[in-house]
Amino acid sequence: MLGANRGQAYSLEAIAGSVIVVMALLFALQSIIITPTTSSGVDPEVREDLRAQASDTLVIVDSNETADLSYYTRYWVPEIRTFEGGQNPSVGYGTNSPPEVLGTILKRTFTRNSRLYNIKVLYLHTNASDGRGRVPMVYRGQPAEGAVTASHTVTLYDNQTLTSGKTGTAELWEYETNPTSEAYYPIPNAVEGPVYNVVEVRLTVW
Amino acid sequence: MVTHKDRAQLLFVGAIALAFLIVGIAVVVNTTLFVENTQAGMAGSQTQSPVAIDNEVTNSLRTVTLRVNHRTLDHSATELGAYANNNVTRLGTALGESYAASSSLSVSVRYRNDSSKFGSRVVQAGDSTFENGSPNWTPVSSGSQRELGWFVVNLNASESQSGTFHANVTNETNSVNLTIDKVSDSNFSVRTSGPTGSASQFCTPRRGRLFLDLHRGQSVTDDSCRFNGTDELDTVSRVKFTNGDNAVGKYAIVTNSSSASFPECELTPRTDPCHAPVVWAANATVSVVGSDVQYESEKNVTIYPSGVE
Repeated sequence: MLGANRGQAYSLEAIAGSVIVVMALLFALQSIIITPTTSSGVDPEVREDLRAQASDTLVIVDSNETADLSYYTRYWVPEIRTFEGGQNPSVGYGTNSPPEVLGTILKRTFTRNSRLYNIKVLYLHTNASDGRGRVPMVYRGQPAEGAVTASHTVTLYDNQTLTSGKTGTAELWEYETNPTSEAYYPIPNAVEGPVYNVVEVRLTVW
Repeated sequence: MVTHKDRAQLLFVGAIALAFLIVGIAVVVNTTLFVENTQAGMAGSQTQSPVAIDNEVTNSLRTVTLRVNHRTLDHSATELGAYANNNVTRLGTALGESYAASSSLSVSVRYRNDSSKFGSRVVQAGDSTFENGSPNWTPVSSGSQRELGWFVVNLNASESQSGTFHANVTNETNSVNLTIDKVSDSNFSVRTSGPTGSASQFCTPRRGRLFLDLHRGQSVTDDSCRFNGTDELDTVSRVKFTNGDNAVGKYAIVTNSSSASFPECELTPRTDPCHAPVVWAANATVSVVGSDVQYESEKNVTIYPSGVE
C-alpha cells in the first residue's frame, strides 16, 4: 500500500512538474511573439526604408521643373486661408491628396501601401527669438509609434508670387500675416533683402 | 541525503526551477529586443543629407546674388560686393536658424568678395528704342571670347513698330540669329536659327509686354513660346542689333567681361544703354557642423550657369 501511494505521488508530481515547465515555455514563446520587432511599423529596417522613401519623395518633388517644393509652399489661397484644394486651415488637404506631382508620388509611394502621412511647412518668424511657425499642408492624424520624418529646406524670395490659380501677380512681400486680411499668407517676410523666408517642408510617414 | 521518498519532490522543485529559468530568459531576451527598438526609435527624424544641404545653400546663394545684381543700377563694384555680402550674410543666418531648428545642424555661409569674380551688365532700364545713336550697333563689341550669361528683352507691345528687329550673337565659329517681327499688339513672330537648327514661333505679350529670355530661348510671358537661345554658344565675341528703331522696350545683357564703352548707370533708369557691374561668380565658404557630420567647403558659385540647371 505504501509502495502504491508512493508511485502515484511520483506520477502526480511528475505531471505537475511537466505542466509547470510547459506553461513556462508557452509564456516565454508568447512573450517573444509580442515583442515590438514583430510589428513592421516599428521594425528598424522597415523604418529605414520608409525614411528613405520619404526623403526621396521630397528630393524628387523639389527637382521638378514646374512644381517644386517652393511652388507647393506658395500654392495658397488667402480667402480660404489654406492651400488651393485644401479642406480647411486646420488640416490643409486632410484626406485629399495634394495636387499634381506631389500628390501622385505620395499616393503611389505611401497611400497605396496603406501608409498615412502628414506634411507641414515650418517657417521663420520675423523675430528670430519667437522660434518657428507652422502651417499644416496635409494633416491626417497623430503619427503612430514608429513614424519617420524627412525634411527639405526651401528658400523663398520677395519677388516670387503665389502659385495658385486664384491669386494675381502680387509678390510675396505684399501679403499680410493677419488671418483676417484679404491678402493673408501666414509665412512672413522674415529676412531683410531679396530673401523672404527660409522654410522647412517636413513629411511624417507612419 | 536524498531518500527514495524525497525523489518526487526533487523532480517537482527542479521543474519549478526550470520554469523560472525559462521565464527569466524570456524576460532578458525581450528586454534586449525592446532596447534595440527604443534606440532605433530615437532616430525617427532624419537630418537632411550633406548633399541636399549643399545643393540648397548653393542654389540659394546663386539666387540671392542674382537678385542683388539686378536690383541695383548705380552701385560700383565695391558697393555691389558689400551689398552682396550683407545679403548673403542674412541668407546664411536664416538658413542657419532653419537648419538648427529642424536638425540641430549648424550651417553657416560666408561670402568672400575678394575672391569673387565680377562681370558687366549692359542695360537699358527705361522704355526706348533699341538704338544707340544708330539703329545698327553692337552692345557687346567685337573682341575676345567671353561668356554670355544673361540676355533678355522686355518689349513694349504697343510702342514697338511693325517691322523686324534683328539680334545677332556670334563667336566667329557659330552664331545665333534672332528676328522679332511685330504682327500686332498681341502677337509677335520670333524666328531663330542657331547651331542646333531653326525655329519660328508666335509669342503673345501679357499686359502689353513681351518678355523674351533670348539666352534660354523662351518667353516669360508665354509658356508656349520656345526658340533657339544664345546658350547654344559656349562663348560669344559680339552681339549686334539691327533695326533697333523697330523695337521699343528694355533689355539687359550680362557677360563676364567689362563694358566700359558705355556710361555708368545711374539710379534713375536711363533710356539709353549704360553699364553696371555684376557678381559673375560668388566665392563663399559653407560649413556644416552636426553630431554626425562636419565639413567646410569653399565654393565658386557661377551666378549665370550655362545650359539648363
